[in-house]
Order: sequence, then structure tokens, then C-alpha cells
Amino acid sequence: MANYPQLDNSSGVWNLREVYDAVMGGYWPNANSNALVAGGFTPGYTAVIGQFNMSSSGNATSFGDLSLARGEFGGMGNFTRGIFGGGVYATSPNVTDTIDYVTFSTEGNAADFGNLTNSNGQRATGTGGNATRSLITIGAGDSNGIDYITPTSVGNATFFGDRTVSGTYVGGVTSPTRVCFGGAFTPSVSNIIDFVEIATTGNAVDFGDLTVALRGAGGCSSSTRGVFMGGLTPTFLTDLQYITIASQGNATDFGDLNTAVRDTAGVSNSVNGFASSGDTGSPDNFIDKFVITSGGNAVDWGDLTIATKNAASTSNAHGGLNDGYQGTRPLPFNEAGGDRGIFGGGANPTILTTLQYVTISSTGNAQEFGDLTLARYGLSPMSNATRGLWFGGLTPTTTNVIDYVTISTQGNAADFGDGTQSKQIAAGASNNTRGLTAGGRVSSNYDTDVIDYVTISTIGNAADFGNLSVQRQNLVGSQSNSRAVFAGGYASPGAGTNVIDYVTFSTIGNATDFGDLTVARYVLGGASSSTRATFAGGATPTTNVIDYITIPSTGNATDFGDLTTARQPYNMGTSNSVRGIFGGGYNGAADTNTIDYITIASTGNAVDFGDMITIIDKAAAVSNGHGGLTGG
Amino acid sequence: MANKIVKYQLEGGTIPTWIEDGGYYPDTNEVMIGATVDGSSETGLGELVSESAVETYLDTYTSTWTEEDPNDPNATVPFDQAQAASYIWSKKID
Repeated sequence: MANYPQLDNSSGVWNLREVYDAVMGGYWPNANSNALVAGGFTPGYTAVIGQFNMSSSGNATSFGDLSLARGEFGGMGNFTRGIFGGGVYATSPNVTDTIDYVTFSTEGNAADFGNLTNSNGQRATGTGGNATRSLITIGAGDSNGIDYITPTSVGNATFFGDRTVSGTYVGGVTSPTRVCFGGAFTPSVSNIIDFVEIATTGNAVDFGDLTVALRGAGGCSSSTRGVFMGGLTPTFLTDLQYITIASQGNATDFGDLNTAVRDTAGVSNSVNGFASSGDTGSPDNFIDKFVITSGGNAVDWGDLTIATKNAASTSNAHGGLNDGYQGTRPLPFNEAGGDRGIFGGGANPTILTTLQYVTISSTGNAQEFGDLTLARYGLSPMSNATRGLWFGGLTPTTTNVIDYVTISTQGNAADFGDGTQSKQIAAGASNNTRGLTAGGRVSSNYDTDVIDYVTISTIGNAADFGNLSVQRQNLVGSQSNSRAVFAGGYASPGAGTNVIDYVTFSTIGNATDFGDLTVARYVLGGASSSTRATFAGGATPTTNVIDYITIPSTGNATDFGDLTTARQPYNMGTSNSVRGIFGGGYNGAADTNTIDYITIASTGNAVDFGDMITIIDKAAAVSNGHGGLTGG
Repeated sequence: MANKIVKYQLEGGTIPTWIEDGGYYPDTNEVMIGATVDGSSETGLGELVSESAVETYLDTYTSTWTEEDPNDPNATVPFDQAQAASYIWSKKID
């Protein structure tokens, strides 16, 4: 008989209807979710990081140590990392801007992450964020300032904006899109709640009021509801008070903790909220638990390994990490697992050897990866889960060079072999076995319909695969695990074409008509999941159009949305099968450094992702997670 | 029945089963003070047999500790060893 688990413990077998409702309702639990409570005053400063399970009661156990024993600081994190920022410690200058982090899955000591924007991070206690951005109030050195970091990388914090009130001992609660800050020591106490939108930067906006002016409240949240816990008025409080994060308004009484406490460490998963440690008259080891979604009084959950106060806390399941927030469709699973996109070569107009990479599931600017063996542009991309290959291009003469990198390891490219023809502005497509290049320009006024292939795991020269249905150049390739599709292009002399044709990777032969793009165009970019190929931008003249096809079927493309700006991201689209990104390209007046992204499974307009290292045109993008590497 | 106030450390990263309430005032080696389970004969790293013994022990490593001044969060006051000893001893069951 199936074991239907509780909503705060996802082990067992779930009814699919319950899964859907839980995800869409924002209370899908995170199995084995960990809470970390770190440091604090005992009243000596401690580096101890304790952990406890948020789905089953019991005492905490030892996790490791902070890089610096400290208190009065904040905890942040994403699904994989717990991050701690700011604080005060035992020796001069006492205050610190330290940010350190641990990996939830691996017990051990914290490692250096970077620094806050101000050297005095004492009482940097207000935190929140989502999977890609963590926010923290800076503390005493900038008492209304807010910093942010990218938890998937390491590096120094960036200034985000200002709170509406200057003060420290702030509590923070978070949804995936919004962080709310409540209370403060100003040096009187404050009842102000204000908020920021995580995806933007800028100053906070008034949200409402706490039920009482206070400082030192702990904060925790589900994806929809934030709870402020305890605090000092100057009376120690047992109060639990909640807000609905997506709205604005005053906090409402929710229930009570077992003990009046200030400076408690708040932590949560989607269902359970916890207050742990704090000043109850002396440092305390308590862990209280309450149900965020229903409210009510807290119950005893267990004890921390040490009695401490002014500790920092975080979890890998807090309210900022629930994709089901407000009915947003949960992100599809990235079967391929690869998440790195690499752009190779290009021109601006200097012809480049540059390899630059991004982490597709996060947002941010491209970073240097290494160099190609030969500077060129108009080259073609192919990749499997391990290797990224670039074929041909213009040096400024056409070349048949193929070089490759190991996608997971930064460094320079190495020689792979040669194509059957020297050509440029051809399409590239690949699955885990074969890489194909199709069409392109061999020489002035001579386009080709030749399709070449290589076996990506075996270094060597390309071999003939077959021919396109229409001879053309400046076409783009995309793929599922079984099919390579080639879209658009320019047949010279002539104009942009709406042709889409396809081949089956495993079957050498000529391409077959698939259907038509919504807009005939060339110099477009492509990005795919295992079932959907998207095509973005191009020249008709220059357009912002994105359209898509369903790869396993045949038929005409359908409108998807628009790029943020009209441009020609030729061969500079790739994906992790969930998110498609499109980088750079000529906008009709100049080359650009823009990177946009889309969620392939949905439709809608592209959103800014970050910037290429430089403005760039006609580079080529590979990834270790694209649609040709999933399914099958 | 009775319990004991003892010095102890975590066992394999976990709180010993014979500690009822602990984790108080750890030193740099994470030797902590706690109250054992009622009826336990465990003495851990040593029993502290009186409130004054707790205070004397605290004085061996907490003489430089400070705490936030309850009247001024921007100031500190010396750690009150006597108050801490009294707090710990309040967990003693005779």
C-alpha cells in the first residue's frame, strides 16, 4: 500500500494531484531539508555551525565551523549553499565584512566567499533571496544599506539599495521574488516593514507595520507568508506575527513561541518555521517549531548543540526557493544536467579567439573561459555533455578547422580535426554522439548544401552526412536527441528564407522539409529543449521575433515572444534544456553585448540575463545541457 | 532522583543522550556545561558540584568575555559569571 507522506516530509509516494497542488500552492516540501544555525555569542564568540532536520524533530548535530567565530550577522543561501555575512568578533577591529559559505550536502567548515560592501557588517541580520540572488542588510557600517550576492558563484557583494529606515537588528523574510525587512534599532525601536523586489536593484518601499515596534526579531518564511518571531520592545517577546509577502499591509498576530526571546535565528522550509537560539535572559539552545501555513503556537522541536544568541541561520528550503510561488509553473527538470554555455570566437570587428562562458540557470555576465586555437567568426557550434566543438569560420579567409574544449574545465581549445570543406556561417547541431554542420558559405557567391558530421567523443576529421533541402548560408541549427533541425538562412543571391528542414542524427542522408518559420530571416539564434526548438532574432531586416517548433512533429513555427531588443544573435543561442539564452549580435547599427533568456517550455518575451565580455557578433555558443542531450 | 551539572563535549557531533539541557558557555575547545538527565550517573568531563564550583570553573576561561549592555546596545559590560553560575545551577535537581 502506498505511503502518503505528510506535507513537511516528502519521503514516500505522492499522489500526483497532491504534488501538483503543493507545487502550485507554494508548499511543496524539500525532502531532508537542512537548517543551519551558526555562530553567535555564548557569550564568548563561537564558530560552531549546528544543523537540524526540519521535517523530523530532534536535537541538532554538529555541521562544522565558520571561517570566523562571530555573532550579530546574517544567513542566506540557495538549494546548495548556506552563506553567512557580516558580524562582530573578538579581536580588533571587531566588526567584519566577511562572507563565508558551506555546502549543505557536505558537512565541514565554511570557506571564504567574499566581502560586504562596507567593512562594518555588525548586525547585518536582515536577509532573504532566491536561488540566484541573496540579499543582506549591511549592518552598522551602512545602517540602511542592502547588499546582494550571487550564491552560485563567489565574490564580493554589490550594493542593492537602501531601506526606508536606518537601523540594525533587522529581521528578514522572503519569497522567490520579494524580500521584506521588519523592525530595527534606530536607536529606538521601529515597527516599519519595507520590501524590495529581488530581481531589480533599488531602494526599499514601505510595506506596512509590525504589530509592535521592536528590534531583533527573527524571520522565516514559506514562499507566500513571512513570519517575524520574538524581538525586543525593550520587553522580550514571544510574538509570532505574519505578513503575506506578495501583498502589502500590516502584520497580524499568528501565535506565540514557548519562550520570550530576542535575536533568535529564524529558519524554515515550505511548511515549518523555526525559532532557534537567542537571548532569553541568557544564551539559549532551544528550537521551537510552528506551522507557517496554518499559524498557532510553537512546540518544542529539540535543542541546539550549544546555547547561543545573535546566531545566523539559513536553510536549503526557505521561502525564496519555492518555484511554485503564486501559481507560477514549476521549472521543468533539466535531464541533461549540464548548465554551462560557452561562446567561442566572434568579431567586434576585431576577430576574436575568446571563449567566454555563463552558468545558464543563473543570470550574470559572461566570464573568460580560454581561447580557440584560431581567431575566427562565423563559426558553427556542436557539443555533447562533455565536449564543445567549433567548426570553420572566417579568419578572414574561410577555414575547415575544428577545435574543442572540455566544457567543465576552463582552458584553451585544442585541435579536433578538419571539416570536409572550408566554410563559414554554417549551422551546427548535435546530440551526445554526433555533431553536424550544415550549409554555409564556401566562397564569395557560393553557398553550400553540404552537411558534415563528426563523432564528438572521437578526435578526427568530419565526414559527409548528406545535403540540405535548400542550399543556403546564415542558417541556424537546433536539436532534440534524435533530430537536427536547420532553420532560416539566406540563399544567395536572394533573400532571407523561412525554410526549416531536418535530419535524423542516427541516419546518414539528406534533409527533409519540416515547415516554415513565422518570419523569413537569417542570422538568427537557436535554443532547444528535448522537444521544443526556439529561434530568436535575425535579419528581415533586424528583428526581435522569437518563434518555436515542436521537434518530434513537423509543421510551421509559432510565435513565442520577443527578444529584449531587435538583433542578430547568429549561432549565439544555446540552452540547458530549460532555459534558452541568446547572446550578442548586430542590432542593425552596432554589435551588442546583450544576453537574453527565455524559459523554453513557456512562451513570452525574453528577459535580460547579463552581458557578454565585449560587444560581439557571429560567435557560436555550445552547452553541455542542450536539448540534443536529453531524452532519447 | 537527581541530576548533575557537568562539563562535557559532543559525542560524534551529537548531544550525548544523557544530557537533558546543555550547550552552555562552551570554551574554545567546545567543552560545555550541561545538566544530565534526571537519575543519570554520567559525569562527563567532570561534575561541578556546587554553584560556586560552576563560577570558579567559568572564571578559568570567561574572564575576558563581555556582553551587550542591556541599556545600550552599542556598549558592552563584563560577562557576569555569578549570574551565569546561578542560571546553570537552577537546572540542578536534588
